[in-house]
Amino acid sequence: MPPGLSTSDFYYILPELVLTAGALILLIVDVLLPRKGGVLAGVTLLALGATAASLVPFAGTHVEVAHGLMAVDGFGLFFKALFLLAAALTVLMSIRYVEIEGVSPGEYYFLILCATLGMMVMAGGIDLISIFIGLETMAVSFYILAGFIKPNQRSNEAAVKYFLLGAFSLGILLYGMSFMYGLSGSTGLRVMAKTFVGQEHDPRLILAVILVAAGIGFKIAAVPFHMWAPDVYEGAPTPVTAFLSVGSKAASFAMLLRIFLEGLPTLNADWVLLFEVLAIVTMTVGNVAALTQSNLKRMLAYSSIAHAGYLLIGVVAAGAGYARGVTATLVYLFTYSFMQLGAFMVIVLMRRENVIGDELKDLSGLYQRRPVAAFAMLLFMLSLGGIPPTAGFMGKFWLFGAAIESGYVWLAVIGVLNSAISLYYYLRIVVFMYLKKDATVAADGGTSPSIAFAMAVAVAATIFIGVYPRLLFELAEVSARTLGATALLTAIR
Amino acid sequence: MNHYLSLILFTPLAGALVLLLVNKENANAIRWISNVVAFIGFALSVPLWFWYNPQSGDFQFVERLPWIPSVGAEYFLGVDGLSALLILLTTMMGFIAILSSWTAITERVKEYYIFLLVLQTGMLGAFMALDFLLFFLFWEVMLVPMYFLIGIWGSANRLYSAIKFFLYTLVGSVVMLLGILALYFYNHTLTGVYTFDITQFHRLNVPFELQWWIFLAFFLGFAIKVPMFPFHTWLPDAHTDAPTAGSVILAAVLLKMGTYGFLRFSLPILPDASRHFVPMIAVLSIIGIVYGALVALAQKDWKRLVAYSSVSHMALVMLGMFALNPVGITGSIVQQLNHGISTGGLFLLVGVVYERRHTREISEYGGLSKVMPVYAAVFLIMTMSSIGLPTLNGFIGEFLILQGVFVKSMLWAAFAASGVVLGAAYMLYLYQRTMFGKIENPKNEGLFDLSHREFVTFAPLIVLAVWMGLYPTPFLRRLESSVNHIVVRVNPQYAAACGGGAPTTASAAGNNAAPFLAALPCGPDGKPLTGGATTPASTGAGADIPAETPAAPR
Amino acid sequence: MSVDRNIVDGAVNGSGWLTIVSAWFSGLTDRTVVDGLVNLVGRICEEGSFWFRRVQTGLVQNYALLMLVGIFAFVSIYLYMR
Repeated sequence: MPPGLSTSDFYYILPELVLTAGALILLIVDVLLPRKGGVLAGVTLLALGATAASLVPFAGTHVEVAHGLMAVDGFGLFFKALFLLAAALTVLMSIRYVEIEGVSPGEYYFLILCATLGMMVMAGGIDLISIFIGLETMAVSFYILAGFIKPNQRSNEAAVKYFLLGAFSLGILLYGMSFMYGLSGSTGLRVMAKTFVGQEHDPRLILAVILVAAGIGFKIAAVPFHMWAPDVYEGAPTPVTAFLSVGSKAASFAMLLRIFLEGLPTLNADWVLLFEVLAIVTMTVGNVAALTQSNLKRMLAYSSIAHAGYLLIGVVAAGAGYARGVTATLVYLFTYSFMQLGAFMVIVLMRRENVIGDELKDLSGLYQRRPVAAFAMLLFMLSLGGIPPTAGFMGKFWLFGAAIESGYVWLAVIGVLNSAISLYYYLRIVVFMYLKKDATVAADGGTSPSIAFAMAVAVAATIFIGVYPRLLFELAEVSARTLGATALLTAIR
Repeated sequence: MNHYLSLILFTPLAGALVLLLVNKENANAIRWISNVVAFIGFALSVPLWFWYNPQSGDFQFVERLPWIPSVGAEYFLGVDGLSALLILLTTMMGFIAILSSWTAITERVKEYYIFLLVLQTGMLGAFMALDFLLFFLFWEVMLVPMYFLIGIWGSANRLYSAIKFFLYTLVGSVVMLLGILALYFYNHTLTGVYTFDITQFHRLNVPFELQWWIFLAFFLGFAIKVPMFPFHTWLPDAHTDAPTAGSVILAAVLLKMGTYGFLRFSLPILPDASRHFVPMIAVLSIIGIVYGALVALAQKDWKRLVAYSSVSHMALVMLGMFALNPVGITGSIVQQLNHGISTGGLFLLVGVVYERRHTREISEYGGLSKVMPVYAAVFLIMTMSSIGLPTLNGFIGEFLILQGVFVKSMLWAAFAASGVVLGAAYMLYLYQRTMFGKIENPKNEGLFDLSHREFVTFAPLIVLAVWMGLYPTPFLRRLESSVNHIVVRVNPQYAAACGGGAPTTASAAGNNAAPFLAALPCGPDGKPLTGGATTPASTGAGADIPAETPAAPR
Repeated sequence: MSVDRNIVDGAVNGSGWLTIVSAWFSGLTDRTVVDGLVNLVGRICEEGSFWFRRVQTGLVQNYALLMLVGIFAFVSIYLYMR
């Protein structure tokens, strides 16, 4: 292949370039106006907005860039938009939090932008190398962000654990990826797909599949690779946890879908079973373990694990050859982002001067203190549990529909029963908010306008998608179809 | 009117939104607004009675708008006789429930009425929806307000009862969702179209294997709601710990969702499976009738007794329904309405006394008829309605069910009849212990009789009980076409051979007795019991359909 | 006369007594057996939850070990199935 990049390549990676530029500008502003949280947040939001704007011209393109390193297609675009949205909401969430914690806002926002950049590269990458680069960028940013509150022991612990286990899983992932490269002679996923046709039962490939799945399983917190999640979620600063649970998960699923559907579609007989088992175990362990948690962030960590399980159902359906599985995963990731971010926003609200605010009992009587926040949390809890008319229900409807259509009825049954189990602990939060009296009369920090706006967005999205999901469904369908292998998939079926 | 159903549907929701704007300290304004909104909601639905055309077999007042085209879900509303009557029951009981809460609820008044109104919309939506996804949405929406109503304003064990109610019914609902999805995808493989249109599903011929599974999936969802034995244990807890209005709505309307589900979905869409499972359901129903009545007899808590009586009554409803003949099904629907009236009334009565004495222990009462004569009279009427005394509504329902079941199996009818006897036992026992005798407990001596407002909540129930008991024809007439539609689908042999009470021109004319009572039911062998107006098939099924019956399944 | 009082009425009262006994028994069954099964489901979930919590030891080495065990398990499943 002829070396070097052409100008058209640079055109297609414009969004990533804009974001990089924005991040660098942010650093400069931080040097000039140190510790001015509001201004820095504003610059970050501007950078994110500019990146989002630069995505617009690429709606509808479907090209490969830089000799097959990256793809600019609807699938990637969907995810990139999601990441930017999640990042923006995280930034809004963080403004007051950063102030209370007393950390350096400039570096904090810079790392968020770096993480977002890594996610965007992950979503667009169709080559093992580019995916890996994106993955590492995102992961390292999160390692630092998790430990950002330096005086806090929990935060440090979270960062160290995440780093150690992350490095460990990365090794596993790389090992698997090296097999894939070795057996195909190329790191490009689409090339691999063609090479592997007919090699279905090669045990080396199967080993590669397992290793890669394990590595990705770590990032999406699937059982038994999930054990870092409760500790890291609990220890990291709450907005970081929020972004981690949404952005990192979504990016990892993008990576998963890319690698397995673009790179290994013909091997689906092997990896579909693997993901089926993963899905069942992840859902069940996640939901059951969450039942007895008293720390909200830990509970949401387990809930997040369970949701990865639900999402894996979509992957299974996709692997069985049904494009609906991909659409379902996309829809659910989108709806999941809003409700998860929303739930964490309410926890951030609980952070007051001397109260960390992440215990269940801190929510007691919230309906009296902050009725709007309590209602928002109620909505997010119902959405996470999958009760209509919320976005979460629409997402679950798609997932279970995809499962039934592809014939995995038992998967749907287990998923549905798990939803019921999950509602027990989601409703427990509601019980504390609405059915218990407020024990503490601690001074309330008040709601900053930024987080109020962010919550309003999350609430509006949750209700709107729940009642009128048409736009999201159609968008997801269009995006899913652009995934390279979808045509190949229908051929298999 | 083009959007009549949507108007009925969203009035309570609009009321709830209005209430959001009212200051929560202004309890009186809140009460007035909610009562007015509920009354308007009821008044708006009354024309449904008059404008409904009993002749037409189609769904009426249909509204159809695209909602999610990519999956084939529509905003599709429509009523037939069955749902029209249930809607009227809902709006009426909704108003009565809201009226009855005036003095009972003093804390967090605003949220209380908002939840009641949102619940109202959910129930109405479920009865009106002709799109499966829309139906499921409303079905689930009902869970959350009810959960709060029990959990916040309930009595001692309310948290446990609320979560039990929620999770128990939820498990049934989500399994039902899987059934819906299976049906949806099967329809796609057959017609290539993605749709949730229920009328389309009514026309489907689903293979028996698939029917079997889908029926079970639906069964779980509906049976828990009805509630059928052994899925009934959420009911006593939910009923006893709910506030009065909650219990009334729960008993009068929410339980009907389950039976409505069977009638609207399981029977017409899955006829072969329905026929296949008749023995199982009959057995469960009979157990429910007898067991429910026995447990009611053993209760010391007034509300719990009425709750178990609900289990027994609804089991009778299910038995009548699964006799799969027009008489049985009509009786079942009538009894559903009756149960709403009588059990709703009974819960209101408990609420009245509970408000005064704050106890539900039967032993705490006795001799109340001396100090509360009007109350005693109302209680007597409700008791007799529940027992099935002729001249009141309960008799009509019970009689029709027994008639329908008898045709199917005399043994079952015998058990059902024993349930009637037991029903009389526990109700009269209850009445005796609370109303008759001397006033042992001094606290009972100063009790006030029914206030005007409280009497108004009972008045419609009494009127309906007497009306339906003496002159049920208008009700039966409106049910005819729905029942025929169901029987034609689920029991075609019967419909062919016995002319299941077609809407003849004779019925359109005058106010004679409901025609299908005149169209003689068939004996167990599928032939009419006497000569009758219809020509029986020479032998068995599939013969010419007599002229009176509807021409073909729609 | 005595037939009426003893036998016929005895039968009537006897069936009444039998009904009351059945009622008491049914009430007991409902409380313990039927409801018990429902609550059992909840208890199983709770027990499972406690078990999972104990597995979460907090030691990174344990987490890494469990990951390896997971990978081994998957490899074994595949070997078993081939």
